[in-house]
Amino acid sequence: MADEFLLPHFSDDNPAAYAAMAWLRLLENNRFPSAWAALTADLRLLAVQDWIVQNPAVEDHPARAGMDRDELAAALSVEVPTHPLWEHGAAMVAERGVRGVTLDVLAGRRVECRFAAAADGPRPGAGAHLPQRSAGRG
Amino acid sequence: MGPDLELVRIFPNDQLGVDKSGDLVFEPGALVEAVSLLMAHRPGGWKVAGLGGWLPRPGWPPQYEMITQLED
Repeated sequence: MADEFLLPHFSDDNPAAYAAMAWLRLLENNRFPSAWAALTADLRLLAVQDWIVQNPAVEDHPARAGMDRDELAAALSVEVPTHPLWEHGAAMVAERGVRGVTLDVLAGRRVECRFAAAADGPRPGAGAHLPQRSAGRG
Repeated sequence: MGPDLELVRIFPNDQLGVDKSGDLVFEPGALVEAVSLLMAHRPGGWKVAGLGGWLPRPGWPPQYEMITQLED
C-alpha cells in the first residue's frame, strides 16, 4: 500500500529527528488524524488488531457488516479511516495509546533529541531547535 | 538501526545534566526517562515505524519486536 501521508524531509541535518519532533508536534496540537496517518501501515495495523483483541464485543458489532477480522482490521488501519467503528471506539483507544507512550511521558517538559544512527549527531542543546512549520495536512 | 530506519530518543531537558558551558549533557551511566521513536525513511519523507523502541509484528495476536537497547 502506498504511503500517501509523509512527514516532510525538513533538513539534511538529522532529518529523522526533525520528522520525529514534527510528529510529536502534531500530537501536541491535537492533530491526531495526521499523527495517525504518519504511522507506518504495520504500526497502524498492529494498533487496530490490538484494539480488536482487547474488545471481543467488536466481533459481534452490527457495524462489522459481515467483515472477518482481517478485513475489519484492514478497513480501520488505513491512513484516513472511514469505517464506523473507527469513531465508535478505535480512534479514541488508538489516540490514548499513542499519547500514553509519548506526550504523557514528556508531560509538557522541554525536550532534547539525540540521533542514534548518526556518527556526528547533534550536540546537546541542538534538539531545542524544533521545526517551526507544521507537518503535512491536518 | 537498519536500512531506512532511524532511532530518535527524546529526552526531557530536566533529566539531563549541564556542563561548564551550560550545554545539556547526558551523563555517563545516567538513566533517564525518554520517548523513543523509530522513524522509517520513505521516498519523499518519513513515517513513524515504532513507539518505544519496538517494531510492530501484526497478527493475531499482534506482537512487538524490541529492536533497541537502553545503550542505543
